[in-house]
Formats: sequence, C-alpha cells, structure tokens
Amino acid sequence: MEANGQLPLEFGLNTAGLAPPPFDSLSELITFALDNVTGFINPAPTGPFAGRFANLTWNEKVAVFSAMESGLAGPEMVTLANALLLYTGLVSYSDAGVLNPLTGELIAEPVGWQISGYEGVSVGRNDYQGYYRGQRRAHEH
Amino acid sequence: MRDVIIIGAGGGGAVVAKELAEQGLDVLMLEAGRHTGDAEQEWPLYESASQGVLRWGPTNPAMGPWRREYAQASTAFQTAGVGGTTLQYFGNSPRAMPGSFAGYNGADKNLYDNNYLFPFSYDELKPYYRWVEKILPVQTAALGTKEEVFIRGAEGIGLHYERGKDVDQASFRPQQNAILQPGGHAGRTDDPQRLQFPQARGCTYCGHCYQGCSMPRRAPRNLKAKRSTYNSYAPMALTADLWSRHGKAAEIVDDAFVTQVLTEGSGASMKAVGVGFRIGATGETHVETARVVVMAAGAIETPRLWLNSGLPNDNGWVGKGLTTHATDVVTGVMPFETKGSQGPASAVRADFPGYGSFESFGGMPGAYAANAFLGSEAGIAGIYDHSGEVDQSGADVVGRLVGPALKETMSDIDRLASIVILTDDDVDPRNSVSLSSQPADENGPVPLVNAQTQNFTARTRSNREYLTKKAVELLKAAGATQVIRPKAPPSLIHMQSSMRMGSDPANSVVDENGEARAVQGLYIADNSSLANAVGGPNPTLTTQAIATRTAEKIMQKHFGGSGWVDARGQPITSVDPRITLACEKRGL
Repeated sequence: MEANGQLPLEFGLNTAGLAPPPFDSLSELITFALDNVTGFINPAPTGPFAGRFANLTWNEKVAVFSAMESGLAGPEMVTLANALLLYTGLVSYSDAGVLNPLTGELIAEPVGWQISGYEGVSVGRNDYQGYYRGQRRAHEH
Repeated sequence: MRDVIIIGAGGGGAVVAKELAEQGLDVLMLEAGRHTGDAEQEWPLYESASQGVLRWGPTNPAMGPWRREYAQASTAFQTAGVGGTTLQYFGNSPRAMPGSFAGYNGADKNLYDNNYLFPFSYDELKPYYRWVEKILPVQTAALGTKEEVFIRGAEGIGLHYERGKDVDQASFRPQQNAILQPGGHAGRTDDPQRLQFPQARGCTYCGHCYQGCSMPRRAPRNLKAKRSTYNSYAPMALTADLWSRHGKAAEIVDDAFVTQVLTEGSGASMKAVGVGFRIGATGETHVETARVVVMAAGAIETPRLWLNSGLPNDNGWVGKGLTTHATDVVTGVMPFETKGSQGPASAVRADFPGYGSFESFGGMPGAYAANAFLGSEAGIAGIYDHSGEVDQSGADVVGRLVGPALKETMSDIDRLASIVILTDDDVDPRNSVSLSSQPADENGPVPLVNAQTQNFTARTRSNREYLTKKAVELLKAAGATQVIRPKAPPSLIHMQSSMRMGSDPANSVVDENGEARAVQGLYIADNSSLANAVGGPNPTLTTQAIATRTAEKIMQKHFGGSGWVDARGQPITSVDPRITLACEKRGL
C-alpha cells in the first residue's frame, strides 16, 4: 500500500493474460479466487476494504496462501499464489508506484528504495576494485 | 528470392546474419520486437519503465506481453527486439563443460548427461569459441566489492582458482564476460560529467545490466559496454558492405512476427522455401522466399513456430528435452558492505564439472527482492513448507520471505550477497514446449512451457542440492550471518535443447550441422538447438559458437563456399574502428 503499487500490479496482472467468462479481467478472476479461499479461513472478516481477503489479519492471509500452495485446490492455485507474492514484492520494491508513465520520471522517491537502502539509479558507480591477482586475461589451455 | 532468411535477431540469429553477410550473401533478418534507435533514450534506467520496453511482447509498451502458458510457477525471462534476450542478459560468456561433448574421456566422464551429448567433440568447437570471443569481445571481468566477497568465500572453502577458459576441475574465477571492462573514469566515479565517452570507456558499474546497458553515455553503438548482439553482431551484419571486401549489408525488418515456415515437397524431399510473417503495428501479412531459412527465435518460439507451421515431427522430439539449469538461489546477509546493487550483475563464478555452476548476482531492489526471496516451491519461511523434502543445504532459512522478515532482510541491499545455482540438468522429454489449449493470440496458438521440478531426474536433483550446499558453504565462509534459500521454482533464465541436435535421429531434431533432419534447407541456430544443458555454464557463448559453425555449414552446402574460421587467422572484432565508422556512416 505504501509503495503505491496497486495500480501497477493490477495493470500487470490484467495484461498478463485473458480471463475466461464471466470475468472481465485477470485481476477480477484473481480477486475471486482469493476471496473464495478466504471463505474457508474466515468467512466474514470485517474491515475497511471491499475485498474479503484484504480484511484478513496477517496470519489469516498466510493461512490462505498455505491453503493455495498445498496443492489441494489444484496446480493453478499453487502457481497463482507464487506469482502473486512474487509480483507484489517486485512492484513494491521497484519504482512502479511513483513513475509517471507520461514523462518517464519519478514523482517521489520509491518506498522500495527507502526501505532497501538503494541509492537510486545512476549512470555509473565508484566500485572498481581491479583484477583478481592482477590477471586481465584468461589463458588458453 | 533471398539467399537466407533468419527468424529472430537475437543471440544466435544475429551471429549467423553477420557471418553470412560478411561472405556476401543476401540476408534478411525478421525480428518480432523493436529495432531500438537510440538506446540512451529508449531504455530507461527505472525498473518498471524498462519492463514495458525490454520484454517478450509487442513493440507498443501499452499492450501486454505476448501470452504463454506455464505448467509451473515460473515465467520465461526473454526479450523481443534486435539483440533478443542478450539485451537483458548479464553478458556471462563461459565455455561449456567439455564432458557435455562426444569423445570426452576425462576421469569424470560418467558424471555427465551421456545419453544426450553434443554430436561432435569439444575440440571441434574450440576454434569457434575463440572466433566469437574475439568478435564480441569476451574479456576477463574486473572485480567490485560483491565479487571480492564471493572470492573470499571461494578461497575460504578451498576452491581452486581457474586461470584458463576451459574448466577441468572444481574451481572459481572472475567471469569471462561479453562486457568491455572499465577504462578511463568508468568504475571510478559516480559523477555523470566524467562518465561520458570517451572519458569513460566500458562498464561504468552502474548496476543496470537488466535495463539493456546504454553505457557509457555518448559512446558509439558498437562501443557500449555490454556486448548484446544489438551492439556487436547486428550492426556488423547491417554494415557488412562497408567493412568486408566481399560483404553485403544484411537487412532487418522489425515488428515482424514469423508465423509460418513455408515448404515445398514432402517426405524426404521436403524443403524450406520461405516464411510468412505479420507486421505487429498494422496486422499486414507478408511472404518472403529464400534458398535457406534459419530459425533463431529462441527455445520457446522456435518449437512453437515449427508446430504452428505443421512441419514433421516423426520422432516426437520437437519441443522435447527442454533444459533450464534447474536454477535455485541462495543469499547471504553480510555484516559488512557488499554493494549488491552496483557493478555488473554477475562478474564471478564457480564451476563444478559434472554437477554444474553457480555465480554471483546483483541488481535493483525490485528484481532483487523477487529473484532472491519471493519465488518458492516450499512456502513461507518458518510457517509452512509444502515441498515435501528435507532440506540439507545448510541454509539458515528455507522458504520465501514475506512481511517483516522480508523487510528486515531487504533493509540494506548493499549488505546482501546472492548466488544463482545453474545445475547441469538432464535432457528429459517430459520437460517440453508444446502448443497450449488456451486461446491463440494474433500470431497463432501460444506455447505451453513445461519445466516442472517434479520432472527433474534423480541426477538433476542431486546436482542441484550439491551445488546449493556448496554455495551456502561459500557464503558462510565469506562471513554471512544468515543464509536464505527460498527453494525457488526453476527460474527460466536459461532455456536450452528444446530442438536439440544429436547424433541419433531417434532423439534429435537437427543434425550435427544444425540442419533440420525433416526439412532440407531449414536450420536452427538458437539455444533450442543445443544438445543438452552444456554442463551448467551459461549457454549464450556456446550457442554463438555453434551458430558460427552452422553459418559455415550453410555456406558450404548451399552456396559453394568454404569454411573461414580455421582458414583465417583473426576475425574483425565488433569494437574495431572500421565498425565504428561503418555504424556512423549508416546512422546506427
């Protein structure tokens, strides 16, 4: 949330593939799948969000992913769980949430950079340490 | 009618194009992606922006990537565009393990994938390795901080230091990289004013290998640091008339997705005569004819195109035998600075003949978090593990990191040291590229990629665990206070052998010359034609060496020429001033 990654994540999911009817988009299908599994963990979570999964506690969300990755609900759910966690992390730690697609420039420092200590993009760094044992060429045997 | 049509201007196709254009043939390259004009303008340094430009997808970044179906929780790391996946690769250019080739008689002979060896000897390929290494060129990598950390660990576990290009024992070494090494101010400052060519030459240590490499700023195209075929082989092909006495400039049509290989005749006399392709921006379709067709669309698209073209598959091996190096990742948290986000993505490696290889890697925080911590077949670390296996790698944490654990571990990217495992995995027909039953896209039925961990052979599993354990030992010897192994699903960064060459017609698609067994005049010159996983080392250099050899075979068989690699002393390198002038004259 703080990384402002919701829209980039939604766009990425929706352009990654087609959703079968009755879903209009892949993100809609994924929301349905998450909320469906949520029903087995906590049928009536309360909270400020429209989606059931979003209102779960952290431990309950972990339980949802454990259920999905157990394979009992089919291999597609295993793939989905892995992809969701991976792409959410990718988006959160990247600059996606603050990049202006029209100008190609950042509108703020990405949260992912702040929490990882990343210094930001650069055309070069000062980290050349020379050649191991001074060897600049590998030998032909 | 053209002499030769090449499908794909990536790591292999551009090599064939340059070699045959230099010989004076009329060569057309058809590339599905974009031919970038000004890399400095078009390849952003930001991770999310570059993902819309450098990817497997249409030239219009507002459109989604081209769809594929995957049977496992991983997606292929591939790039469309002139240069192909070499636009985003690390430039790592080691030679293959000699034991992956026919005729090998080393003491460790029985450790390799002996049912699926290359159909010629390692010594047969060495002149072609030397040829490509000179042209790119391939250079010994200098060190940065993260490489020094790796080497400290390698020395700590007693690994041998390999000084040569051919590996015959377990060892570590700086990478042989297709990257121009730093000169002038490069690598020695972060001041943009002093990092412009020619004050800075070669790798500037910017840390943006994933973003295509447009450094140093203001360098001519053929003098950019990373030697993707975009700035090495492709410009040489496009200017062959300007620097080669008998050369003829090759032509590239970009945004051109080949959807059909056209043939005439049937049975043993079936012959390739051309291709059908579709222009992405307009949807127009075209046909172009040629005496020879070379497929170089990559290990997924080449079998897809073969199957969509309805070409013969009598032995059932089209798309079968995909190897992926059964990758895994381990990361050490260090109590000192590693500068994990800086410098070339990977500049040091260790090789274990008969088992595979591993190498350091670094990068920007989004890709770093995803690659190092988030992909898992086990589950969430410390909470659940559905892998069904007892982990004996020695890692302190097994499984993916999420929530507070991820935030804490990623709290200083420049104190992390990561290693990617590259297993010598077995050719197995269960790992494959076939046609998906999902809806077709504008270019035809889409591919289904099957590289499931459950398909790994016992040797593949054993090799992967052996290498992972060694990598954990290395990180701990380097000083890691904690080592994390997410148990990543096979990350499809290296894909080989889905249209494999071999000596046995019963289990190979192309013969030892790279020509399809079922269709005359149809050649394959990308990673798909590799016979096996090359023993674990990164495959690109081997593909390029074999593509060079295949170009010679095409010239000899179809155009009455003779070989040139053994006959001539030295090739013209892609950084030669004549190439710089030729690029300038042609507006490249």
